[in-house]
Amino acid sequence: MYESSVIDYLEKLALLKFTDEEKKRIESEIGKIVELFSELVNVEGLDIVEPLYHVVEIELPLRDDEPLNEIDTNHELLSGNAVLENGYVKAPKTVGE
Amino acid sequence: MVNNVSYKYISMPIYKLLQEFKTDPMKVFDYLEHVYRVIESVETKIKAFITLMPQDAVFRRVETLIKESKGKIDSMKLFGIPIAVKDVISTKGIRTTCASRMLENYIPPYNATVIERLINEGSIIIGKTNMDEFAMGSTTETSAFYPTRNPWDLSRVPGGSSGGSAAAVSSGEAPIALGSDTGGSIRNPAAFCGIYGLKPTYGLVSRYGLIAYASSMDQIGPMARNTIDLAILLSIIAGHDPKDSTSLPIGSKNYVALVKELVYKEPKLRIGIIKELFENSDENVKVKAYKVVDKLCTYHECLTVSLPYGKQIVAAYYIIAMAEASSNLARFDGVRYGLKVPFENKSWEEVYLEVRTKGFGYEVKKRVALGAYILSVGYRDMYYIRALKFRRILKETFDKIFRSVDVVVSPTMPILPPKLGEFFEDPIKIYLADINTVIANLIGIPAISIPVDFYNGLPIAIQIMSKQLTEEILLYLSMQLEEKTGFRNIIAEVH
Amino acid sequence: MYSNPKLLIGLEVHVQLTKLKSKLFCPTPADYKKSPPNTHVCPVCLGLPGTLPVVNRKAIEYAIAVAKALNCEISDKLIFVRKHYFYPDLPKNYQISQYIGPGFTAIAKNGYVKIFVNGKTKIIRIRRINIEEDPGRILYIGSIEASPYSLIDYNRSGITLLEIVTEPDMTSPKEARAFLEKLIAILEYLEVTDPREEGAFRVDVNISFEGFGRVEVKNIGSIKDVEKALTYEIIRQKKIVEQGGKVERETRHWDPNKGITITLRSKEYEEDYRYFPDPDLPPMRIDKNFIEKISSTLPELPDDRINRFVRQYSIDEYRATILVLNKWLANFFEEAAKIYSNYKKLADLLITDFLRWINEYELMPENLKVTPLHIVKLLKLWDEGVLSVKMVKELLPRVIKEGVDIETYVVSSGYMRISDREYLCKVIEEVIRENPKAVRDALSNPKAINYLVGLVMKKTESRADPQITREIIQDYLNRLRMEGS
Repeated sequence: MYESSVIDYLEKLALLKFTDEEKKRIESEIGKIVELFSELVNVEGLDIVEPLYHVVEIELPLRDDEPLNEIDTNHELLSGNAVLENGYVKAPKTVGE
Repeated sequence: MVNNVSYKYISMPIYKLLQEFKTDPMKVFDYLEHVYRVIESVETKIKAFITLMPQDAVFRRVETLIKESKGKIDSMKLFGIPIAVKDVISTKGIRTTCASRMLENYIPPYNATVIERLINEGSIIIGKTNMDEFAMGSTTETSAFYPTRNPWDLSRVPGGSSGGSAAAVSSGEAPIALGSDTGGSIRNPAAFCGIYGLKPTYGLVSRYGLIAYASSMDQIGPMARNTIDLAILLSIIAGHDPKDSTSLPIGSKNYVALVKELVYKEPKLRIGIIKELFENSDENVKVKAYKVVDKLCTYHECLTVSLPYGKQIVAAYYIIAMAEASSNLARFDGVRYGLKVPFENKSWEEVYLEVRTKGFGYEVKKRVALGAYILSVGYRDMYYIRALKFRRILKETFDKIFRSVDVVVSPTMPILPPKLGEFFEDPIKIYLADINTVIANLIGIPAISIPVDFYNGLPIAIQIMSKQLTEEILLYLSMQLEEKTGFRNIIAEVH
Repeated sequence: MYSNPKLLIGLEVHVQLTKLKSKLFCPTPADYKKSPPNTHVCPVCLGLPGTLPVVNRKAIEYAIAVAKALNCEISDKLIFVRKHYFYPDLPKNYQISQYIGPGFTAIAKNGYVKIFVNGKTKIIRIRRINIEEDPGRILYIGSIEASPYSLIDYNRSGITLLEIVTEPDMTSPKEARAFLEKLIAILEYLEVTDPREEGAFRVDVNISFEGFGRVEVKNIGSIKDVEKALTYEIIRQKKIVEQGGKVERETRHWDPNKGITITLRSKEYEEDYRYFPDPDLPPMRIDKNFIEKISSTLPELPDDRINRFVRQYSIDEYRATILVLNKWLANFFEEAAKIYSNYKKLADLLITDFLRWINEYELMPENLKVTPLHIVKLLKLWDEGVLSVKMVKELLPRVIKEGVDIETYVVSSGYMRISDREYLCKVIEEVIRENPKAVRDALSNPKAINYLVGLVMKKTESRADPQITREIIQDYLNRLRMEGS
């Protein structure tokens, strides 16, 4: 069993909540998962290598600064999936940050 | 067996179908008619699709295609060929859900690069296939809608996460399919459903339009019932895409020609047998897999290679995958697309929390939350950085192995397809079953799953991995085995 | 006596590279400011699932040019990281940015900018420069607090930003102002941005008294407001310190309408942005040739131009700085200097009255009616004694606003200095007749002659040549003295 405060912390980081049932489940699983993750602690030579972020050696390609000719005048990209009001996307309120 | 269906027609490889279609484009309708009869008959049992295009819409699409393609048909590499597409790939105007409540009603306004290429070659999308939610899983049970069943045994899972694509192809609902593979998601279901599946070298196939799970490991790949079909589909989707900065700056190859050339020349290769990956497999899998390897070894030179890591590989994979997933799935907040909840007079934080709580299933929440934890200041060095360091060690290990052998072989999955719900209780057990497949994703090399045999009516497959950008070698060996085992164009009888 | 603790001011300046034609990570047209909301968008800058970023080369070139101009060390690798925070203006809920940390770095660091304040040159160190994407913009229904929901415009999303961060090297609002003016001038000279465009330039200020909590004031939109916000904060914090209180470490918001700062959130802990290198963007080696190519095409920058002005036109650093920091004014000056050689007089006119009227009339430098030739003609008429200083000052606004040709105007309007001795003698005789007391005063006190000159000027509506007027009056007084003795 993992402390429920850890679950609270996870929820806060990911901005989501586990249902009560899910909470029970993750409390029983998280210990085993962390144990699996700890398998890496004792790998020989781990400290002397650099992390590998990108698996293929590729240089970042750059694009010319050439704009598209069109703009999305009729909101084809957003209508249907977002709620629009006078062309703006409606979203929950924010407190002026 | 489905009534009024010519199985000879349904199981026809696409390279033969293409010849027929090009001689008489009207035959596309005949073939589709058969395909839809199969779907009608088996889909309710298998549930391979999340969104199935209605037959009349598909027919209309074919009519337009024939009209628009006048004079160009001969040059189109997939003219009239239906394809099933995993529901993680963005299709303009066709709902793309990632098998999640979050995207249940999401209709993308743009096509993935691979979809553009399929359309340009005259392929017909017949539906979007079921999967584990956001590709997180290896059984297709985490789909928010319903699980898909294994066509060979409806009480078993088809594997995952591209379980819908594999089940559709193996049951005859589609001749070919696209899957995506982050830690085995093409190869695992291909193995469990008895079809061919290939995870290309990282960067060979554009990820533009592939809804990201773990960006540094995700690849789209082909699934088919024989090697040449696999090669045809790979030739179309592979090759540089300026919209993907991780896309390798190389043109597409004609893998069919390359395979045929290799089969003709028949070079002798050095094949490394990864001892530990055989030994850790279920007895039945192990025995059958060794038997197949023997077939390869009668011609090629086989030697045993050792992999000194086990659980560490799985640990590194899940750490990296979860970390990247937490970042990639941050964007799902219901504002621009996705699940909506009433939000007037509620703070944005409340609303986001509600959307993400309702929109994501358990496995997704777990991985996203753990991923955020892994990247947080106190833990990133302990988990994330270590996993990346291990990734380098693993890569160097395989660089060394590939200096003494051309390819390495192992069972694709160490187990037979499990029963539905069997894995539910033990997440570690299910994660550890990924050990053979996650290697290729961690280090960006190509890997193929080749169906080779059955045990008690359940398919068994081996996996071959090779150096980056040597897909043709994998296809060559696949072709050789296909000749030897006769495992080709096989369609599961759904009972 | 109570001694003030040292004031530390550091700035974080966000500059949009407005001269780019497309956004940072997608080819969407970047000229969104006059367009309806959510029209300058594409799947990438809306953060639609499955989309991927592709970097704009020119953005990198501009960033390197800026880094060079700010005397920075340029990284040998270009690495983008993801900075995670949830907020409705951020389409992906992470921002593609840069950061200095293990496995990643900013495009440039450790630079400096020279400022000239109170007759002295001071160095302000640059800590780092990041390239990053701008978020969208949130609008509110009515007031922020009462608004039941917000409205988002993603046109700005993905616009290229440079984040330029200084060390806390400034010790007064005036220095902060001088820094920002210099920085903006440098960016203008590089032609990477138009800082006058709305929203092109936003500043976060960090301000603290040494040993007390650091306060961050976010998102200030103009130099004037930076100065005001700093002044407000200094007074606020000083009061707390003097009363023996504790300045809380917090983030505040500048309300430009009320002229005050208000608490946004306390900063008890650092927000955890969970930085990691963006897996969608592999690193790029920035090789020496790439940097060299950019450096070799840099235009003359403000520091060099100031030095050249001092050398070439023999004007002091103060005048040179004011001219050069207004690029168009410096250009104006140089145009005029080709046909007029009293550079100091020219500079003085330009940096005082000329600039004041330009600002007064809110004229845009790019469509001025007044040309360097207009100003030179004015100066020449002044030199020749045709116009008095007073007349010059009177005529200047019309020259600036309407671009009137002063030669034509002076002739046609009769607005000419009166140097005709015969006419002046008549006027002077009148003045003397009407003011016997002033004449007596002038006889005993040499300085009182000015009063008489003034009376003549008044009678001639300032058109009398003061020099000649003075001579004639002097002669008259001398004659009176001789007669009297």
